[in-house]
Amino acid sequence: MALLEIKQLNVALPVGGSMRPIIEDLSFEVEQGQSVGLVGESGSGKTMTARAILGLLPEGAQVTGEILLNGKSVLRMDQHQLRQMRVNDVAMIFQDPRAHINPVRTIGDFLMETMIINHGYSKSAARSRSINLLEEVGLPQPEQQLRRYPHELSGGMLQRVMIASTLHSDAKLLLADEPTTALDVTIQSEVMALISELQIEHSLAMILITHDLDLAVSICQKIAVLYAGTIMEMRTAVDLYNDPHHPYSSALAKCRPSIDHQSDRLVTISGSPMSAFDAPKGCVFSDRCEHAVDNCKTERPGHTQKTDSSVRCHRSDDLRGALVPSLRWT
Amino acid sequence: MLLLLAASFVIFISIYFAPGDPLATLAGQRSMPPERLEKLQAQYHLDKPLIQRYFLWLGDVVRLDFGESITLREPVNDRVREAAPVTIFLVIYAQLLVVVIGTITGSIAACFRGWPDTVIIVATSIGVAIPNFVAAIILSMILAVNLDLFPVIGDGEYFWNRLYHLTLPAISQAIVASALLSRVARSSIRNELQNEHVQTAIARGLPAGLTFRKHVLRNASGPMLSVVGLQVPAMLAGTVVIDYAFDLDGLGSLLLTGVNSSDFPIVQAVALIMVTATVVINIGVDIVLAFLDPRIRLDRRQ
Amino acid sequence: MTFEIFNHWMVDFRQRLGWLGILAVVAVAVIVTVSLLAPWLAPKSHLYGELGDQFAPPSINYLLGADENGRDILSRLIFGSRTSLLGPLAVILIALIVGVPLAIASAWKGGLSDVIIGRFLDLIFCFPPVLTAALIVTLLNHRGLVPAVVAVGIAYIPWTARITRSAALRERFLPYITACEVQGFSVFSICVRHMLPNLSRLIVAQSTIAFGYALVDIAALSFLGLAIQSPNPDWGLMVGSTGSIARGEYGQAIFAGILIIITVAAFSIIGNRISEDESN
Repeated sequence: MALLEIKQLNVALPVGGSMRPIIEDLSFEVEQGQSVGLVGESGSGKTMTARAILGLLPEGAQVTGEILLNGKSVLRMDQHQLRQMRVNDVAMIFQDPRAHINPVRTIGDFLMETMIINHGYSKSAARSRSINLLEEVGLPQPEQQLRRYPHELSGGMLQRVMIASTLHSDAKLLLADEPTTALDVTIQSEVMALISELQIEHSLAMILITHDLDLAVSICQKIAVLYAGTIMEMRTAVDLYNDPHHPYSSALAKCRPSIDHQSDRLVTISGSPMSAFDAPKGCVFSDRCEHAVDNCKTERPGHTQKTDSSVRCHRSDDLRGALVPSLRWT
Repeated sequence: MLLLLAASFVIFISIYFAPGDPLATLAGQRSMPPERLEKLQAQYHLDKPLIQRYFLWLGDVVRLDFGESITLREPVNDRVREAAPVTIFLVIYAQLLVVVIGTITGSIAACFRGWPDTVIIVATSIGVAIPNFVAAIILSMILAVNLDLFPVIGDGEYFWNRLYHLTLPAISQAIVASALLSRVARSSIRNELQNEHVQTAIARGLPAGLTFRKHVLRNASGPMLSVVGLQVPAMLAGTVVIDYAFDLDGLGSLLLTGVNSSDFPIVQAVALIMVTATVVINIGVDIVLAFLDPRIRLDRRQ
Repeated sequence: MTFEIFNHWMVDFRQRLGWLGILAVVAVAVIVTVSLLAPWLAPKSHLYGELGDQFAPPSINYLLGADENGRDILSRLIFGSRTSLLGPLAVILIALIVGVPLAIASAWKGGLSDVIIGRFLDLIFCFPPVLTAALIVTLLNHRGLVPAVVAVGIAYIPWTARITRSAALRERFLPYITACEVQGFSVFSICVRHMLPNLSRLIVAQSTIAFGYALVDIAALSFLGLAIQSPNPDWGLMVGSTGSIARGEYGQAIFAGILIIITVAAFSIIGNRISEDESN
């Protein structure tokens, strides 16, 4: 049985008096120890998915479908069970560490509070464990760091602290929501490498949420491409990159400029990314897709399931050859 | 510090703004025998130059020697010592009420949308409009005279009796202040609730009550503390009214006595006390604010 | 230019008041009208009473009863509205006339003058209105509306100055001001013709709220007997009518008190609505 199973999830949020769909008919699975990349542009609903898994959807959200964590339904949990789940089963790394860590309390306090409160450690036990964790994430002089305040540390160091805090529980699922986007470019690869290392070392399942397809392919085993609240394609990472079955995945792969390849114009996808509630009838990608035909605009495609992949496109089979990017993944 | 000196200088100098010569002002409307006039002259060092007078005066004041009251013929200091405890008790009592009521109602309004919020907003809107003296009269009328629940006047002897006597005065003082604090608390807490680090705490499974106290309230308390800090001096000034309304023997009453009998030493003394308290409290608030938010501390040093 | 300022806020003023706001405006309008038309509205004299009618209960003759001197309470309330409104008005005018220019100058110059003015304001801030009033009354041996207004007015200068200053600081470096400077307009004309209208809404909103508080402060002084003196009517004075209260007659105190509450609440609500619109 998979660690996490999401089945036909629909989430709608109240916006200015009416309900707007953010996620539509979303389904995917994460196995133990597997890393899955959830790739999408802004508005695709990727952060909402993570929040749904944690039971942290905003007030007034309408949810249907099923989210099963270790076989238990998250959507039907009460407050107590949700707390238990958040303490023991799932851990999350947030996007902007500076915003997500309380600025008036020390780093030590941040790390130790879950240990002391949720896991019943004594203060000294929590302290030494925190020092161990900080060493594991590569922060120098851990004892001193414990006494520092968030504004005294750089963004990269803060993110490492955040990562450290996710390691100490027995959580088997790690949610990483754009963990490096808010960091300096030079630090990004270091931190990402750290996350990947730790994930493999501790055999954690991970959902990496990102807008960067290249990043996802380099880190994750499986990738789900999200657009306007639905999964357009889900396959093994390298396969998806080298042989995309969906026009959107192909377009994403083509858009990335590469240092090895010279071009006169950057490739873009016409139009702009949208959320589920702005999407057109029929296939949500239809008005930006260069391969769209009339059928695409009127009828929403279902999931074409194969053994380890799924695609949501009417013309997936026809377009096979046309979608291959010029550069293969190596 | 400088402020304190400046303020004391203003008080010192004020007597010279009065028309005529200071001695005449001190004497007020009374006629006095010559020996008394001489005594006053010596007390206020009126034969010496201005600056010297100021420092001599300052020296006296710092040693809490406020001179002798003109009408009462006794050292002002004695009266002050009698009156101060009542006032301090009253202000502390009132502020406790303010903090408790303000924080609780503000928190409720911030966390629960819908009718609790509306009720509290309406209540605070009315609350800020109820001046302490009006509240005093209304409360007196309803609770003391008609229902005979509380004593109308007087300030009680020992602790519990005093608590009983000062309840109505404290409530009168507390109404406006707690309405203000409630508003500030509500907006400050609302702001803080939206901060991402609160999300983090919840996502990590920390219990709601603890998250609220430790992460929301603690972070939101800065503006709340500032408001409370501003209120204390205003409350001190308000004791003048409350003392009059409830016939209490506090510093406010003393001030009025001084004014009504044109007894400048008394007025001067109470004025000094109030101003000093104001400055000290403001400084205290600044210190605590820096303690609460470490970011301020570092800014200061740099 | 005055018309521009007036127009600036008058237009949206009406639109977003909400039912509470409209109620407040109505209340204020009624009170102001009553105070203006007092001589024609008051049934009896507000200064003199009939000797035999002390503490007369409410009747056709004395609609709300009579006070300890046989004077008609209703008439006194009606006439009392005049001083109760006039006092705060004078206070606000003083605070604005002194505070606003000081604040704008302080914000504009910056540097040392800003600091000095700031310290000066801090000094004033140490003296609550009651205290200043006490000092003035004692030293000049004179009570009445004037010393009270002066004392409270001085006390409100720091408030208007602070608010104006922070708003002015925000405006100071906005592009349109710099554009004027570049074009060579004099500092005075820039401040008056450009900055002031933009600050006007904030100033008006805060002044409206301050009006309410000033009303309370002056009434408190009257309550204590330091401002308006008997036999002149004033709401604060009536709340503090020891002559009546000692006999257990709370009538005029309660009525006057309620009028104060309503007036202050109304101004508060209006002031809040005006400033809310700005942040929207």
